[in-house]
Amino acid sequence: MRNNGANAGRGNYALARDAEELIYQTRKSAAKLLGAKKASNIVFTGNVTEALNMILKGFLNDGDEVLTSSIEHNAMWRPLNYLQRDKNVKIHTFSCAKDGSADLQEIKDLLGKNIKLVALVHGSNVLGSIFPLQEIVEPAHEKNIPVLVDAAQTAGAIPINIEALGVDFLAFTGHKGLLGPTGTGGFYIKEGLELRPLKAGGTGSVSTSPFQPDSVPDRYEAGTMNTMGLAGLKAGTEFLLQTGVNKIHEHEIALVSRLLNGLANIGEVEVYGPQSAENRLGLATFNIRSRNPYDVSAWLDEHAGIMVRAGLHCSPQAHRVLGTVETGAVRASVGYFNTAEDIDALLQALRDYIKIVRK
Amino acid sequence: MFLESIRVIETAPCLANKERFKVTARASVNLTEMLPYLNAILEKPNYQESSNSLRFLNGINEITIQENKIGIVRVANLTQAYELLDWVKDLVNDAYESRSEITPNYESRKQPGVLQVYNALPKLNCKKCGEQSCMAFAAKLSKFEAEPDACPLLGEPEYSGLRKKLAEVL
Repeated sequence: MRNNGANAGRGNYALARDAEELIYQTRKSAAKLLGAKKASNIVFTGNVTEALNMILKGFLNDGDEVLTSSIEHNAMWRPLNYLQRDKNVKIHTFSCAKDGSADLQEIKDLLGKNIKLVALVHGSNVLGSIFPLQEIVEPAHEKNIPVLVDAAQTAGAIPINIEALGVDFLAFTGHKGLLGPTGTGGFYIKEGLELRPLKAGGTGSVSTSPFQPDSVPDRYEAGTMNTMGLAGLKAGTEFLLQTGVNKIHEHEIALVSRLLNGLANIGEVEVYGPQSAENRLGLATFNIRSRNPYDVSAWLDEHAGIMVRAGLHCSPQAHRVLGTVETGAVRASVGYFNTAEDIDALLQALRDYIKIVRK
Repeated sequence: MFLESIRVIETAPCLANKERFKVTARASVNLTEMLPYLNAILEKPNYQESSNSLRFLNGINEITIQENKIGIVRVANLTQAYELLDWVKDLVNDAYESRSEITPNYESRKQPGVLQVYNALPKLNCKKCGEQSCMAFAAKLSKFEAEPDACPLLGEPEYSGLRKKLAEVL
């Protein structure tokens, strides 16, 4: 890519074709990794937020009703609220316990309403909990209701098979579990489903038409593609395919288990979300009693070189469920390249911090 | 692997349907030796030993293989083109791996009569196909040396009946 600044698919010369082929290979890797049938089921966007906006605003019509969870990230929650305010879309929310678990009977009961779309996060970026998708998709499909999954936290981090799950839309970001650069993301769209394109413009195809082409992905990819970013996403997804998402998930579970056990042994720490490391994302959200989470994260950064995120994590809904919407919390995330020593360093730094502030 | 890669070398709009592409690609090896095997396993292929070419349909897409060139017409977008080329690559490699179990078929499909083809054309001699007359175009079509897509009129709704008739003749 060092010598290729061509616009993918926009010219009959080798550099433009090379750029297009690179994007195709990225699409193919992403489809394979997520268990989608075809590369052309995958649409690329700038991030998961853009993908969710495109799906929600392109699929829901005035007065439609949507079922969502009570722990959604703002990437889902805000576009839904705009649709509610401006398009009279009615939001039904199913409740979640503090460990992120949902009452499946409540979901089934709500599906009995006139629901046009079920839209929910796969794994919570605050609680670390994972929704049992199969158990939600099945009753939704029994009522012919399509399901949109926000896989921002789970794509590349836990095994996902779109075909087996039968989900209709799945939005992902490139810069988390998929190990790609920021500014990359996208969504899967099941064949036969159609959205109103949120963006319109050049695609390099069907140029005489005043409207977007019907075919996917061109219909949803107006404008010049982020070829450089997608080259990075290609490297990330290929690494994941070679390494195996199962192996990555097992490594992260081992680390988060070590972290949860260690935090439980520090008396003044309150840990949120599922207490077990099983069926959990590689993160732990916590607070140190009577300490401001922003101070904790700043201290860890300055004195231990450890990056943790403090605040609401763009998920005030999840913090409402936890009762931490006023205070926020500290979230530590682990990745495939973290080690047990990293976890021990964080635990030691937290003990040091508590010792210092309690003096 | 027999066929390592296929690279797109040219894309252009289809003459008959401006909403579709035609794509020309180059295979990393000459595919001539595999054509009789593909002729044996594909549904209604059109194999011409004299020109070392094989043409067949995959859905609405017409695919032509000649030596190391692969042409596909009526492609919706470039992603679909790459998907189809991947499919051709797998088809060729699978046939190569199983060639000991396939009896190669060297039979060419019977060429339709020029008049039969001519009767399925608009007969306006508009020359948009690049030929001087519909009869000249029919002669090329009957020898499988031209694509029906070269006639833009056949893509128009009022000639859909003729298009269907031509597909049956060919």
